[in-house]
Amino acid sequence: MNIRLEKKEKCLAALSIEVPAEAVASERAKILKAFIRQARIPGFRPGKAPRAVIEKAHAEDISQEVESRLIQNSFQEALKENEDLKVLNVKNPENVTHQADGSFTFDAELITSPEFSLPDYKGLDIEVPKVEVTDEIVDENLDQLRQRFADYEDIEDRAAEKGDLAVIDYTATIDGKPLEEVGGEQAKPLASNEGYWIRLDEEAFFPGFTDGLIGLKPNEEKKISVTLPDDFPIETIRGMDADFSVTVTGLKSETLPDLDDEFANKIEQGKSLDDLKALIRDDLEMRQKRQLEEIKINGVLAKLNELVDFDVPEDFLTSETQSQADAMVKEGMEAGMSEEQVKERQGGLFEEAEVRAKNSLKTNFLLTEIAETEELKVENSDVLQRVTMMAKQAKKPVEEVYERAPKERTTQQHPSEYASQ
Amino acid sequence: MKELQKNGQLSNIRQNMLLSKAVDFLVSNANVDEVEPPTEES
Repeated sequence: MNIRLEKKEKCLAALSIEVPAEAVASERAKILKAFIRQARIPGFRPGKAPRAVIEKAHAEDISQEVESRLIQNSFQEALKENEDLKVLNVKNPENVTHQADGSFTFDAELITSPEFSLPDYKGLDIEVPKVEVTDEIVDENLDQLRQRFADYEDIEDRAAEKGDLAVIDYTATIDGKPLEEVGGEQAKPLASNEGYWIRLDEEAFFPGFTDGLIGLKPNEEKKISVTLPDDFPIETIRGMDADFSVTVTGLKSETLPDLDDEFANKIEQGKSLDDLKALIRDDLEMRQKRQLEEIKINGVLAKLNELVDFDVPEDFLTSETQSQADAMVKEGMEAGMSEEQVKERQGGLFEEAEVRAKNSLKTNFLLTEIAETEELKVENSDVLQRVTMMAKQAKKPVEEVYERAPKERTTQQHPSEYASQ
Repeated sequence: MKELQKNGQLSNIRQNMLLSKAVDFLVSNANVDEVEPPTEES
């Protein structure tokens, strides 16, 4: 067998194969023999029909089977001869020809794993923020809990003061136009509200807004103008002046529960205030630990990617870019982007998706290589344990988790997804 | 289960776990520097 393999750019290799006439004839003879044994031809006992009759009756099937076997055997032989080549996929054979001299030739394109040298991946330098759960943070969390259990009383004998809670109805406009008209779908939840509770402190809502409510009594109306901050989440209306027509429908004073063992018992039965503080601290420390793990993972993967660059297979990149773009559109729409806004940003979004896709694929090839170099192994028992755990968490039968498994991406996994594993 | 294994449905889970192990390896071998978190002004 004559095998020619030419490596090409972007993880492709061109394979040209010539199977000599004798090998073709031998394969054909084997297949014909099998057909003679199995074929049922009217007028003949099974396996007793003459060769010429079988050849005529099943000419097309025999020919197809010969080609299929020759191609299959040739691929196996070619991969054996080029063991160092990591083939990820084989495209459909082309130029399949039965030559006049009886030989058989065809070409095929192979998608191969990228070739790269692993950078020095031990001892990657990463930075993580120094964090600790201080008493102050625990107290802030306790205060939030107290607010959830606060009592509210109507204020009827005075005007609004700092620290009160106001219940308001409002509509907002920019240059006389409804806010949603200027800011789009995303701005809709902010454009008008009824029975909206707002604490009268400087940090609530927009800068200057709550100052405008001080001194108002229930049923009083007022126009309050504010400038939307430069870091406002809806880009299109950042820095613009918005006018709010407000009606105060109620005023309330807040009484927080005393911070004592009785309160702690209300939150966690049988626990003292000190116990509750310890529980809050543990919970916060656990969350910080998880965040730090995620930062470390993203840090090492970003660093690893910076250290080496190589082409990834084009077909993989196309498919992964589409997946990333789909995920970004989904995220955007969940965050309130309209279809129009998605369309407007399509170009940029696709560029960003391609960058993410390449990084993601690179990461996976690098990690696979590192796992091989370090001889990391996953035992069968580990896999079974993982699947059982996944099933338990999802409260689904183990079989269902198995069935979902093929849909999970492996070579296209985004680095941040490792954090949850 | 054997049928599922034959169908290669376990290979994705196995591959994910292997890549996770490689990530753990990188993290456990990294030089981690603790820095003060950026303040709001910076």
